[in-house]
Amino acid sequence: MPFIDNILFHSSVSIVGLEKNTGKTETLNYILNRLRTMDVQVALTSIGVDGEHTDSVTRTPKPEITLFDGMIFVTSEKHYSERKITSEILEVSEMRTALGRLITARAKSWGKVILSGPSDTAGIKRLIDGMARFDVQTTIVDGALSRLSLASPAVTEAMVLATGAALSANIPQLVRETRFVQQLIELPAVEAKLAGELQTIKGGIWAIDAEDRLHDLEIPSVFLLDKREEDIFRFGTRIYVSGAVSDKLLSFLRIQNKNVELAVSDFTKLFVSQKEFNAFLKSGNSIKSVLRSKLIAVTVNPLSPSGFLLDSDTLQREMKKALNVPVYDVKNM
Amino acid sequence: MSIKQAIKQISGFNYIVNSLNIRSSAGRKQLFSLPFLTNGDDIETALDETETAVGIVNAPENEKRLSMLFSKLMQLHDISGTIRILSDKNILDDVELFEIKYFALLAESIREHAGQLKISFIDIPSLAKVIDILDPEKKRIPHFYVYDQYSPDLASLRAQLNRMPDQGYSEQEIEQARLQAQQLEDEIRKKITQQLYPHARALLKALHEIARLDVVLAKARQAKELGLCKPAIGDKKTFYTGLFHPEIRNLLRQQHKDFQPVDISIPMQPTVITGANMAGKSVLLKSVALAQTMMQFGFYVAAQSAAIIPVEQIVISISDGEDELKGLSSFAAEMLRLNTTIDNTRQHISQLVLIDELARTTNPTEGKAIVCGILDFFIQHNVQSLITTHYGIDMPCRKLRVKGFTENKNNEKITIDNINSFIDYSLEETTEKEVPHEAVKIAEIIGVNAAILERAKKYLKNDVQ
Repeated sequence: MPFIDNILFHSSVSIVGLEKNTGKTETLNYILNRLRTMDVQVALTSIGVDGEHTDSVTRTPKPEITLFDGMIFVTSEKHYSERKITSEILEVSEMRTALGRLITARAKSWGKVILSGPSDTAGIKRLIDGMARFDVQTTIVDGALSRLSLASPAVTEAMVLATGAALSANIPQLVRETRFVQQLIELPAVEAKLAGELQTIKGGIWAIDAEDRLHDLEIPSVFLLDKREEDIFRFGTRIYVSGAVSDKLLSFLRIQNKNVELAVSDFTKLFVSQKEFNAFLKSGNSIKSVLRSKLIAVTVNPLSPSGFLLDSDTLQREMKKALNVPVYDVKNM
Repeated sequence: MSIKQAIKQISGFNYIVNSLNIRSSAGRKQLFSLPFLTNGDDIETALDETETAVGIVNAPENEKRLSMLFSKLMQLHDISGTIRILSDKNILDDVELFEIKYFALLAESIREHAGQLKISFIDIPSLAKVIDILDPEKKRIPHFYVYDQYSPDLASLRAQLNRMPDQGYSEQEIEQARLQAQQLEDEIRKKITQQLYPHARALLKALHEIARLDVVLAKARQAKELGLCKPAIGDKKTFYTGLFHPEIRNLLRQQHKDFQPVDISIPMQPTVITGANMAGKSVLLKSVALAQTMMQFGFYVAAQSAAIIPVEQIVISISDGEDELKGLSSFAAEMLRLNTTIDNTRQHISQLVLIDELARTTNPTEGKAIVCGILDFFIQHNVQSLITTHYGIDMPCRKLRVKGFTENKNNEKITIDNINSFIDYSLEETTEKEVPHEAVKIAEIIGVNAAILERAKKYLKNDVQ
């Protein structure tokens, strides 16, 4: 399926850069430029990091996105006042973010805006669901992968990854790292009913017993896990970690030799190396995710910020072979 | 007393406030600014409004329109901040203009529903002129931007701007044109805002009236749900039939128990109330305080019927462990509260005084003397008060006794779980000086260790002899 059709096939898509200068903004602007001529209602927003004026990944000022007549966008009051576009306000939220309330507006011309949306996963989810009011077919989320962000792009139905020489100047290495992210994004999903219950959990480490009942293991931090190895399996070997999962946690669970079924809230909580991740799975354990997204395309930027240029054709070919999704060069879309 | 203070001081009032289903944030703000009414006419006006609303809420034919009205109230944003900016003659930005348009359209629709429902006690001014100013397209949709219709110049500049990228203009030239358009928009915003200045007062009144409507409707719904009644303004005395305490009734219901409502009259003089332990004396005082408070904030009250004399102050002394937290012994705190009532009397501040087990935390000889001293003062100054006590008091004042234990006809086993069905909580006038001696019996029922009770009985016997 062509790139743009594939995006419109989903009700929500996030665009996520794996490193700064991997061309996320170019990807977003390319998509919007293509959508301009199509007769579909799309909406745009971004995952905000509360109180930060800069992009959470790049630490550079947030880039402006070019929108066209008819597109709906959601941004904070502060960035709305700085817009360079004629747009009609449709709604003002009562909920406040650090940058003010959220403004939903419809572009009445082409122009530029800075997007800054809800800063938590539930807020993004509500926003996407609410877009049906304005007959929106697809909501595009300018995503971020960040420890600082409370919101995860995994909440969208599909994802586009922007990757490139900025992440690694070695093609096999770059492909391997991107493939690993894909693997995390597409972790098997926790069964729907259980996932609903897990989503209400705010923190901590929980055991899931054979009847899907949840038990708080009352371990305040994963760093204290090894002091409790006796009793963490007292309700069985299904464990839910609501917060971050580290290499240390995976290796601790692995050496227990219990065939652990680990559930995480979403892939952005996995701060693990490929090596430990693979070792964990190979020793008979498994990982499932409450939120599960789907990678629908990868864009590559063969140019690194230091000026190093990868061979675009090889990069696209290798990437496509390993990930089995369409791959596009942002400099040549 | 403010609503916030009442929540802190009056047992069960927080439950009343929390079970009010107020739809809008403006309504919630309005609730917390309700005054404690002391003038009979003001209270009557407030109660009449609630009565009208009760009539509307209870009429089955209104159900559909009411639910539409409630959903409109839920959409209400509190735009008092924006109205203030307007009143201060500042220029509004698009978000603020949007808020005013959104509000004006909503207010017009609420006004229409309220008119259809014949809600007479609110007066929402028409905001049609405000809508005209902010809706040049006449679409009556709550969206806003600086419309092309405001200025032909702006319209043509925007059209040109839209074509520029395709006509090979440089970014600088486009930016220049954009700035020009922005300046035009700013001028228009200034003009629109100036047109809105004269309507600031009407906007504020509409917001206030809608918030009030939200609160009164919530009070009416609550009156229906909790079975409250409209009190009359009392003249010579306050009286209740079927007085109850909604929060405690609810707690009892959860345990499948009943709350027994009580009848009581409270004349303009002290009344001493005696009765066994667990006979509901404290709950009685709490219910009286709650009903008095509710009426003076314009609520219906938790009783079957009521006539209540408004007072300027409700002085309550019911030990709840708070005093210790303030570093006062319970005796010291109680004595200091009594000072308030004496000061009030001297300053002719009308008050209802409710004291639970006066001077019980000191020795009986002095405790009894203090009770008599206070009663003497209250009798002399006709202080409307209820004082519960376990002391046998011989003073020339009105006395009520909680009937207490009823006959155990079927010889059932009385336990802590069913004890309340063996107590008659109703009150009767008495002239007896003696107080009920049932403490040991009750201790036995609730399962106090026999080792203690046997010894207590022994001492009791010696004492009598």
